[in-house]
This record gives sequence, C-alpha cells and structure tokens, in this order.
Amino acid sequence: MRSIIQKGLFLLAVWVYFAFCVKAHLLFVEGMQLFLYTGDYALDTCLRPGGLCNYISRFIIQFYHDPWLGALLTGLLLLALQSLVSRLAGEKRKEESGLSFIPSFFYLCLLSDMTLYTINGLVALIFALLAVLIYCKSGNPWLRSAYGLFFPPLLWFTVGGVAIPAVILMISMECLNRNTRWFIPLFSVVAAGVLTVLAAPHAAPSLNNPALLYGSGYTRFIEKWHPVFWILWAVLILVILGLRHVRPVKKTAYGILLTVVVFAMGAGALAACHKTARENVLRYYFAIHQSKWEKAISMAEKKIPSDILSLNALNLALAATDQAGSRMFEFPQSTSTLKIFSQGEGLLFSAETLFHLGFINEAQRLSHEYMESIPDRQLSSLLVAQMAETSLIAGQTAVARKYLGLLQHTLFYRKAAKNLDQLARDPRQVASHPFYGAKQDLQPREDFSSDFANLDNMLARMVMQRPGNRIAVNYFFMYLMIHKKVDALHQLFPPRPYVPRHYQELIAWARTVQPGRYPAYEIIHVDTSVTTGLNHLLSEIKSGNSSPEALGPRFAHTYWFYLLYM
Amino acid sequence: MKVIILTGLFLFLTSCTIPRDPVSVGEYPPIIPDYINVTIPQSIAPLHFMANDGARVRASFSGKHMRFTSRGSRTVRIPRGKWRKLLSVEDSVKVTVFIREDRKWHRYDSFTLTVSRDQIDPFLCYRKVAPGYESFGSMGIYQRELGGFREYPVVENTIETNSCVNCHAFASGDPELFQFHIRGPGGGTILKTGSQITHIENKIPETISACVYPYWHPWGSHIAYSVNNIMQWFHNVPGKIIDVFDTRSDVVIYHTATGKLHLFDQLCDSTLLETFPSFSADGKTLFFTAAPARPVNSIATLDSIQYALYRIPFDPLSNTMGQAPERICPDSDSAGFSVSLPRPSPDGRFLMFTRSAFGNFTIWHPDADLWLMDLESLRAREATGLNSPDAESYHSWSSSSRWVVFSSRRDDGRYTRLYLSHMDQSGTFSKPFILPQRNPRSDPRLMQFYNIPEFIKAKISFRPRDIHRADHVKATGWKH
Repeated sequence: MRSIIQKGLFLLAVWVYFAFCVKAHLLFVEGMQLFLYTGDYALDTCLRPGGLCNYISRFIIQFYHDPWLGALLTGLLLLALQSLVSRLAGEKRKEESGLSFIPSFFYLCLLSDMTLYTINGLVALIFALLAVLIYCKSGNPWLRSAYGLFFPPLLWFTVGGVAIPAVILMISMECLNRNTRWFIPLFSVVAAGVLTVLAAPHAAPSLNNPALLYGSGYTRFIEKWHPVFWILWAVLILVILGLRHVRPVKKTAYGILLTVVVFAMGAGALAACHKTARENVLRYYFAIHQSKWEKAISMAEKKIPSDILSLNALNLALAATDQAGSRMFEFPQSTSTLKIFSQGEGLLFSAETLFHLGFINEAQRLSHEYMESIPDRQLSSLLVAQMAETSLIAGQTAVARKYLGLLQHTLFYRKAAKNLDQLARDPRQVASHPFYGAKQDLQPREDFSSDFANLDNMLARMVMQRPGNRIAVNYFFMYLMIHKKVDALHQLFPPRPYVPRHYQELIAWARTVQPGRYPAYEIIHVDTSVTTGLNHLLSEIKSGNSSPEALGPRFAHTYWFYLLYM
Repeated sequence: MKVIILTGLFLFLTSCTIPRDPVSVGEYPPIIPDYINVTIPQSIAPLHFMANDGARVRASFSGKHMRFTSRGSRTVRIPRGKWRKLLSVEDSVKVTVFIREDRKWHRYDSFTLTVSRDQIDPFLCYRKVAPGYESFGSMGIYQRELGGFREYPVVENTIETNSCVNCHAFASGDPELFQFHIRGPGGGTILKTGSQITHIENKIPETISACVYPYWHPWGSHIAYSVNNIMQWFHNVPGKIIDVFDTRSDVVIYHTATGKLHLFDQLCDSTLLETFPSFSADGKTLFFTAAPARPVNSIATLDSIQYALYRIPFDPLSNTMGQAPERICPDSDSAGFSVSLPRPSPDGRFLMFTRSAFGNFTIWHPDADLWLMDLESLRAREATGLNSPDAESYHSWSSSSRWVVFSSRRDDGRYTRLYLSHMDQSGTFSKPFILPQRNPRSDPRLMQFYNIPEFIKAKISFRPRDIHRADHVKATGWKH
C-alpha cells in the first residue's frame, strides 16, 4: 500500500509539474521534431547508433502536443525507472523505500529544461536496466555468458552510450552475486563491453565524441559535452548497489519518513533546477505563434518581462492589438525590444514578427534558418507547418504541398495538413481565404532587399506600399519612437481622429521643447492631461529633481522618461 | 499456419500478375517519377515508380527476349536481377502500367524505355544540403552508385561543429584526384591526390578570398578557382527568394604539385567579375565567365549584371596564359542574357552552360536553362528537351560525353533534384529522368537540395578522419 501511495504521489507530482509548470517546454520540444509514420523515417532513425531509442522517444514526444498526455507519459517513464531500480536493488514490492526514487528525481531535474535534455536518455536507461534485470534473472551461467556477449554491442547500437553503465552494473552484479561459474559470464561481459567501446568510433564515424560516449539523442545539444549523464549513471549504480546492502524498511513510520525526506529533497532539487524565466519565454513564443495577443499582454501585465525575446513578443502583441501607441512604455523598452534576430532562438520570434508584419519571404527564410540550427538536427513540425503556410501565402503552392505532404504523415498535424492541401490545389481559393488571402494582400508590392539592421527602411517601404497593413504601421511607429527618430515620425503623422497617448506625449514634447520645428504636430489634438503631465515633468526638472529615480515613480510610463533616460 | 502460408502465397502470386479485364485508358499513366519514354543507360538502377495518387499499381516490362511483371502494391518495385538481365538483352522495353482506380484496374497506354549502350560512369557524387541561408544544419557530400541505390557519405559536416562542406570537384571524374572545401571551424581546402591528403590554406594576401568555385585541369596538375566576394540579396516580393552575387571576383590557377596560386592580370581585372572557370578537354584553353564590376544597390543594378563567356589559351607545362581573353558568348552586351557554369564535354566537342536573364548563381533563377555551344563553330543553342519552366542549373558530363546530369527545380520549384539525360551523336538530348530512388516517395519527402552533381569513374576511398591526418599546406602566390 505504501509503495502504491508513493508511486501515486510521485506520478501526480510529476504530472502537475509538467502539465502546468513546464507546459510550454513540452509544446516546444514537440514542435521541434517531426515524427513521421513512414517506413523511411523509421529505418533512417533506427539504423543509427542509439536510433531505436531515439525513435521510441520521438514517438512519445509527439504526444507532448497535448501537454496533459505528455506529462502523464513522462511521469510513467520516470516511474518505470524507479521500479526497475527497485527491482534491480532486490527490494520487495511491498517494501520499496523512497531511496529508489533518487534516480527518477535526478532525471526529473534534468527534464525541467527539456530544451536541453530530452527523454531519450530516460528511455535508454529503462531499456538498459530492463536488459540488466533480464541478465540478472538468468541462473544459467552459459546463458548469461551468451547474453553478456551480445548484449553490450546490441544495447549500444539500439539505445546508445547508456550501454556503458549497464555493463558496469552487470559486472558489479556478477561480482556481488558470485553464482556458480560466475567468472565465465563476467569475462563475456567485460570482453564485449571493452570491444564495444573500442569499436564504437569505427562503427559510427559520423558521430561526434560526446554522442558516442553517452548517446546521440540524450541531449538536444549533441556536440557538447554533458558530464551530467556520467554523474547520473554513477548515482544510479550507487543507489542500486547501495540498496542491496540496506536492510528492508519494514516499519511504516520509518518508511514514510524516508520517503518524505527523499521527496522533499527531490522537490527542493527540482525547484532549484526549474527555470521559470525560460518557461515564460516559451509561453510568450506560443502566444504570438497562435496569435493569442491578449494572452501575451495579460502575461506581461501580471509580470513585466525582462528578457529581450519576451519583450519582442509583447511588442508584436501590442502592435497587433493597436495598443502600442497607448501602452508600449508601460513596459521596459530599448532598441533591442524591436529587433529581428539573425541567430539563436531569436530567429523563432523574428519569424513570427516578420510573418505578422507581412514579410512572408523573410519569415520563411528565418524558419529555415532556425530549423537548420536546431541543435539535434531534426526537422520541426512547427516550422514545416510554418513553411507550408508561408509558401501558400507567397503563391508557391507546389512546395507548400510538399511540406503538407510531410505533415500528412504525422499524427497531430494530419487533418490540418489535408485541409490545407485541398486549399493549395487552387490558388483562387487561397486568394479568397480569410486568413491566407488577407496575408497575401499584406505583402510588399514592389521588391526591395531585406536589411534587418535598418528595419525602419523595410517598414517604411512596407507602409508606403501597403498602408492598410495595420500591424506594420503600428510597428513602424513603435520602431521610430523607440529609436527616437522624431524627425522621421513627424513626416509620417497624418491627421487622425485619435492619436494614442504616447504619440501625444511626443507631440506635446516637440511642441514645447522645439516650438515651430514640426508644423504637422501643431494641428494634432493633445489631451489636457498629457499637456499637464508634461508641464509637471518640466517643472520638476527645473526645480532640480531631474534624476530618473526621482521622476520614475510618476513618469516611468511616459515617452518623455524613455526619451530622457533610456 | 497453413492458412497463413496459403494466404501469403496467394497474395504473392496475385501481386505479380497482370490484372484481368482492365479498362483501357487512352493516355500515358500518371506515375511518379515520370519515366515515360526516356532513354536510360544499360547500367542504371531499377526505375521504381508509383501512381501519383498513391493508388495500387502494377506494371509489365516486355522486350523482344524477355518479359516480367513487377512486384509491389502501391509501388512498382523491379527485381534487380531481372532488371539487369532485361537491360542487357533489350534495346527497347515496353512498359504497360495498370492502376487500380474506383475498384477497377485501368490499363494505360504503354510507354517505352530506350536502352542506350553508351557508357555512363558508375558513380555520382553530389552534395545534399537543407535550404538554410546562413546556418548549416545537416549537410554532406555523398556518392551514389548509379547501378543501385546505395548512397555513401564521403564527408558530412559533423566533422566539425557548424562547418560547411562544399565545392567537391574531380579531375576528369577521377576519384583519386578530388578536392572539396570546408568553411567554418577547421576550414580550408582538402585535396586528395592518390593516397595523399592535403589541407590547403589558400587565402593569400593577393586574393580577394579563399578559393571558391573549382575546376580541375584534365591532367590533374592544376585547379582553376574563382575567388569571390559573395553577397546575398533577400527579396521581399512573392516568387523571388534570394539572389547571390559577387561584388568582386577573379580567377586564379592552383598548381597542385607546388602549392602555388598563379595570378594572371588577364584573369584579375578589377573592372570585371571573373568567375566559374573551366578547362577545355585538351587542357589548353581556360573558359570563364565575366561581367562588368559595378556596385549593386538596387534591384535594377542587380538585374543588369550579365555575364559573358570568355576563353583564353593556357599552357599547363609553363603555367602561362594567353595575352587577352576572347569573348565568345554572347557576342554583344545587348544580347540580354547571362552565361554561367561553362562545362566542356570530355570529347571537346561541346560546351554546356546555364543561361539566365542576369547574374551567375542561376539555381535561384526560374528562367535559368541549359544551353549547348558547339566549340568548333562557337554557335550556341538551347539544349532543347532538358529545360523546364523552373531552374536548371549545375550540370556535368559523363566521361563518354553521352550523358549529362543536371540539377533542376522542376518538381516543386524549390528543392533541387538531379536529372539524367542522354545525348546522341547530333547533340540532341533525350527526355531527362530523375535519379532513380529505391522508394519513389523519398525524393518528394526529402527536405534537402541536391547540388553539384559530378560523375565519377569509381568509388571514392576517403574517410572523414583522414582530414585530421592531412598535411597542412599554405598556398603561396605567384603573380605573372
């Protein structure tokens, strides 16, 4: 009963953590792979060292598309690891101690950042421990010898570098058990293990050293060293061997106490590893990816973002909802908060920005760039879908159908891809589609070269050619405001029925500080509250209270404060 | 058990027979890839195909001496042994395709595969790369046997993090005289001459850049390179993606034995953008393309860069170049087109080039087509039959000068695929066919471009780790 409660609590805690605390991580990891139900994909993935493990992991990861289901599957995997540790340690089912949860908590901490560590290593561990368990269960030394001879290379080829700790565990078990003729299987395992380690670099010349030594897909950054896996494996071996020598915990109170201690320490470790900021960045990404503008803004209202990527996402949301002119300086701004990134995760955000601004070619290019820079070199379902959409909008229906053809071999994108494929068969249908047709009409009419360093030039051309592109117009104004290009703004200001507050602040400032210089500003209505606010600010400055600390509490959310101090 | 065996036997037998009482359809079958009425080399891999809507399909192959019916349900898979035998005894193979539509078998008009006895090289080397423009994900240089489907990596960019491998080239298709570049970490040119591997650092103070587009001298003694300052122009209107252009470029000659880069004033004119060099079959002439150098600051200036084809005598024994290059195509600036990728045939009779409205990086130009120049008369004509509404670009001749392989974007307008075509005595090309794949679906699903297809006479023996034991050589300049 105690064991069931332990497992139930662990599963529930893991499920809650993944489903609610790192939900965007799950969506991101799922979006950055493309699991295809085709024979080619299966063969291509499996016929590489560690490939079978990668295939199974990717199969599971596709269910992260539904984070609740993904969280449950991840929890079950961690629980499977605990059960295997307990079985190998020789614990009886009724007397499982909380100590057998240590490796699962260790892996849980790694998985708190799924953009770095994947479940591949976990699946591999489960396979490896299962293989060791089968080995240990056999009483026949000759059978164990044969098994020990074939098992290390086979395990290395199917699940990767985890074969190394598995071999060490088998050797340790053999030495500890000392069954009849124990030295025969021991010799087989040692020989096979050594030969596997020596042969591995020759069997997979294209794999780099880190991937050779701890598996090709255990981490998304396959070319870097991650010694954490060796620490994990050492802990795992120590826990298994240690538990074999610990007396079974029979007293309920002591058992509960031990479990509580392990769980509390596990929870503490997880809290230390958890990266709220990272999760928030990904949540901003998915908010703008799904055009959930209000969600992005409400997230910022609850907690003002401090990182550049989130602020870029927020600014896009403000531009898309026409709130930029009245709210942009409620949030921290700098010249980097409206930026097109040319590398790293910024590419993902910039692809979204360019897509919504109407620069469809460039949005597609950045999607390609990011897919090329995915650290484990997978195709991305999310980006392939984006490429299909951008191709459709740009009128490249043949290549759009290629991408949609791929997506039709997935589980979760199949239906949408089929519908879009129907649409792609007739360009007239695309043109009349409420979303794609509208996007077609927001693209530039005349060609120009992209220059992200001078985004205002691109935006200026876009706004001139497509004055109805509302998001681009808002974004352009934001860009000029943030870059303090007052002269350029002056040339753009047409008479409007209502000028948002930040623009009124600019106009009031220009009228007061440089009277007569900007004639277009003279005819624009400025609210009395804005004029009064500026007068207060100027009088404060005149009276010597010109430090940002002194003015911040009253004026931090005004354009004047940004103009003067940022 | 009996039931399973009998069912299996029944399915096997019924999958290899011609359907009874099919409905006749008076047109060619809708199959992918399109192998209808193509000319194929005797040694080519089986031409597996499928109905383009994925319906059940069968095919019968018949000639004067033998006939057989394909296996497979959704894909016509041809047994390799029977295919070999068929192509060895038949000059022409009639293919009849049956497709199951609306619960009935339909028999389409038969088409012909013409089997040419002209030799084709046994291997093809190419690069596969995903369409990143600044990032390098997975890419590599691969070799593929033409008689089968096996593809072997020659070198992949896993050798160094974030590296790019490119511009593989061979001396007359000899796999023992082979070079490619690595860009990024551990960058340089890797030269394989027999068993010797050399890592060359060939950026010297006198040149604009490290060596870029290569062409081996047929004797293997020299490699002509362009050196280029390459820029990219990203378009913003639908239908145009990118243009790649040079702001400066020259042509230099690398002497493989001495490690010297020979710089000639005739090929390093600062008022011209010289690029894409190639040697004639006898090695005594150097071809290259050149355009007037001018700043590119608008679409209009980009569109006005038009390259012409030049030739200049070259003496490989004394490393000397003729006095002045001769412009051979087009003969006037107002011709209104641009020439790129000149590639003489090994028999010295023709020169194939890519023609487009402007520029030289023609794979991004949908109007780019292949043209053929008779090197005796210097008359050029379109290589009719090879071209499509989309871009045709890089091309390579077989050693026999009877086959060409070229890259084309005809399938989807974006992803470059390799097509093969036969040229007869009169210089007429047969209908091109795509490089056969074991699974006809694999090309449509592949998210990589093929580029720089080169025929090779045998398999390359090269291990990526050989790069780490290569001799390091720094090229030196020799100004003439």
